[in-house]
Amino acid sequence: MGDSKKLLEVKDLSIYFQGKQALDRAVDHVSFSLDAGQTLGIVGESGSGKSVTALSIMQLLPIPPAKIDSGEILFEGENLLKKNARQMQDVRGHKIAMIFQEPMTALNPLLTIGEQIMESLMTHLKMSKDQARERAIEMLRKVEIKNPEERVDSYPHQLSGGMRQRVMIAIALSCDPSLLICDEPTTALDVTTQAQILDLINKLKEDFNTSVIMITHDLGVVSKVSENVLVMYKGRVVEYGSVEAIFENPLHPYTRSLLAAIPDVSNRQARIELVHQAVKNDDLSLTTGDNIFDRATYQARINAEESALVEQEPGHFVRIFKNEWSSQAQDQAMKAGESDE
Amino acid sequence: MEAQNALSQEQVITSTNFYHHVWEKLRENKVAIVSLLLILLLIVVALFAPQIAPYDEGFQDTAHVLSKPTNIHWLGTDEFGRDIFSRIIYGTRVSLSVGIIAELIAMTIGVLMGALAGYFGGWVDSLISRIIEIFGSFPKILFAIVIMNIIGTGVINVFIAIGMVGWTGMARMIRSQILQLKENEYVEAAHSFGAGNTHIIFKHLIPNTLSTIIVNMTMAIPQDIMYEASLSFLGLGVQPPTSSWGQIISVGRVYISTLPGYVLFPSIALVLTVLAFNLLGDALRDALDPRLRRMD
Amino acid sequence: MLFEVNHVCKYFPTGGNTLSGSKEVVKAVDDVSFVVYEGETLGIVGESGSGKTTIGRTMIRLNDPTSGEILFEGRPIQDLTRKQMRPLRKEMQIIFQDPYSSLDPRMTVGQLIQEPLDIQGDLPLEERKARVHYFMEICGLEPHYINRYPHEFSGGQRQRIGIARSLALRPKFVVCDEAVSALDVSIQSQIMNLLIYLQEVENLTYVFISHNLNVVYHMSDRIMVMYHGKVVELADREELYFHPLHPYTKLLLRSIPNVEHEGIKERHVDYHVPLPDGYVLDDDQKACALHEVKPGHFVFCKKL
Repeated sequence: MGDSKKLLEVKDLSIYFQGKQALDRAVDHVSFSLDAGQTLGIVGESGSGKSVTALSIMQLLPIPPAKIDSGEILFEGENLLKKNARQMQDVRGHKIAMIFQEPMTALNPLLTIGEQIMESLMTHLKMSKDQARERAIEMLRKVEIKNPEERVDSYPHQLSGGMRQRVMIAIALSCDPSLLICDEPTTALDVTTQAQILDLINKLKEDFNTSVIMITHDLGVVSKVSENVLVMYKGRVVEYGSVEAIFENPLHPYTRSLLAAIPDVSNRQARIELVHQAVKNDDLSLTTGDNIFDRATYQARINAEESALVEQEPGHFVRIFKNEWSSQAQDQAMKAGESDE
Repeated sequence: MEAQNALSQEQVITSTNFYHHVWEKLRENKVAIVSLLLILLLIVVALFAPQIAPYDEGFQDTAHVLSKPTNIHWLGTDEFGRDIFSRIIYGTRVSLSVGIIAELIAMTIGVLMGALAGYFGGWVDSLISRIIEIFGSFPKILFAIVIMNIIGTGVINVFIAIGMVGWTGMARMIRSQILQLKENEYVEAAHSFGAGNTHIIFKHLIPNTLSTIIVNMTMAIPQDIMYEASLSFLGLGVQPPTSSWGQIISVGRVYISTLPGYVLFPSIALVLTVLAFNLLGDALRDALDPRLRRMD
Repeated sequence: MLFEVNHVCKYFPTGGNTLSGSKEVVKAVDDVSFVVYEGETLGIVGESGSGKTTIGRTMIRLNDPTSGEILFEGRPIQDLTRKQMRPLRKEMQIIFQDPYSSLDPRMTVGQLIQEPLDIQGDLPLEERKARVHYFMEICGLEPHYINRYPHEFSGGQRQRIGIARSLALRPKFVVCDEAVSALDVSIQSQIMNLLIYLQEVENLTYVFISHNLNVVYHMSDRIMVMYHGKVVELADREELYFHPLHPYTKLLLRSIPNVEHEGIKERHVDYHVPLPDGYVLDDDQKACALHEVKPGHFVFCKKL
């Protein structure tokens, strides 16, 4: 596993928030890695810890109340958690860039978009003003904004939501980072704009040879851009594998329930029948709870029992409980454990 | 962001009641507790003034005129031989009741005006905002003097005058808050149930400004006490033999070189009271502010 | 026919200077006509700014239409005053998108659900309390939640409170305005199940508004697509989803990032169905109108 080709390696990362009773870890022993040029999708619902993980890579978590309990984040072989604020500033925006869900709040309304792109170019790449401006225009062209020579002097409020997100991408990619973290980049956008932005990210990823971490709650988005998928639930990784493996052969009940929850053509009739059945039997629990994945039971079990991420197929990991370990899975877990050491 | 959301949600779920939480927060603040105790003490003093004060506020001990503090007259006597300690104790009644009653009047006018302006907007808002600006463009004390001149002196009139000049700040705060609050979907939800304007204003909007009202009141009370003191100092407020701190200071300033305690002691009472309300207001603002609440 | 909307327009004044009196308007809803049949779910999809929310609110008179006619059970309601609308509020309700801002934070669950009944005020208190309990139960809220405050609940549970509240008056017609958009995927499906279940037991007619085509498809019998204040296409669910005729509908359908795996079959959308003879698409909006090009399938186009 200690391959030097890895761009990013998160090892055994645990984060919790100091609160009155917040003993729950927001991120609980999460490990994953990312090769150069690859895209990893992190999927989960709110509270799953997906954004906290991303912010911890950028070291943008407010500490306190956040506290990093254990683990290391190796980026190009260096542990980011060991870096001080100044060293991180060098990494942030330069080698690792991030785009957020709401481009309007991430952009400064008082500066033109050109000035905002130039800012990071001048600090990180020590460019002169003219050079930076030229590069800013070039970046706007790359993110397919029409008339970049004029647009460079626009203010954020003069742009549509999709355009703003393009500008954010331009800022993020301007210093040619090796890793781009996208935190729900299309959630606030309309569906047609979303499709354009996802296409753009896919295209630029090739052009710039950038690795991407795509954080989203939308499995559809993940399937469009990622090669590997990490499914998180309550701070834990519950399943990890290639996009094909996760979507064609989901192993964890939570992943399955997420996939089943996507409303689609084929399952409407079945769902209505399920509801009718429930009405007939006067059993409302069916209509109010998940029929596949019962959160409460799962939570109770995971609190009480030992669970582990086990490689069920090559490259496809799933979290299972100790007493569910088949002898074969146990063997594999042992092997995985050995190779870890 | 999500990290913060998850955080605040979890914390929020355990807090059972908003005001319970505010009290918890307030209790941690030692200054607030001391201020609160001082205010409670003042209220007790005001209520039981006849029992606490050694002499009646009008009683003239002609044998001891302008006496220095002695063991019969702890803080000395004034030019008529009235016990200054007793007069300060009786003065608490006026000062506190002016603070509270005048502020209640100001609050009622301010909240109503602010709510109407914020909720209806349009010409109602323009009209009320212009009135607020007119009131705000003159020094408040000047306005109070004019009103006192028109309606005459006396405690009740002091309440009215101070109430009438003190509402604009409250109105401005409430107006801007209602402007925000009315964008909430629960207002539209109430419309969809057929609720009228009165229901929406009194049932949904004003209750949600309660923390603003409370903080604003505690901050305004010391101001009102000062106004009363100033009016009485100018001879427009409370008339003798009724005593108020301002009125005692006003008369006593003539004797400031011969009998400094005459001015000093009521001034100390005034400063302490104003300070107590101000500090409590500060603490309340912190305790009620949801943004500060989330960070603990 | 429960609702009939005829040539309704809703313009909002914008940007114009109040002093100079110049009147610029945004045509949020521009000459829109459709009907809602009793017992059906009519889905309305569109992107932000398409006017889908405005038409939903205008038809139940939370907005005043600029022009046009709205018939509820055959009775024109577009000119009724707020007072005259009050008894009709029992018949038509709305479920809001944001389960955070649509519940007054200072009221308990019980007070919130009882509020509409209190406002209408035609039921004895006993019966109101019974209704609160009944709707809490069928919306999946535990009875002991009754004295809790909204902030003590998760988004999904808050939306259940919102639904219980809207249904407490036993309306015939409910506008669901992005009712599941703010929720996590798995919670979304629970709430959709709940809405389908309630439609069954309470005999409801829905207008279901969403920007999410999959969600609308799942909930609706017929679907209406809106774009810039106009209806561009209206048809039965399957027809619209699999044989879209208007280019904007096609663009929307193409844009959905769909997961394709064994459980969910690839959609076979036929993007190349032409308009029937006699109808053409035209860039000139003035020449176009919503025409019924096939039985039950309306497209915004030009009739030759």
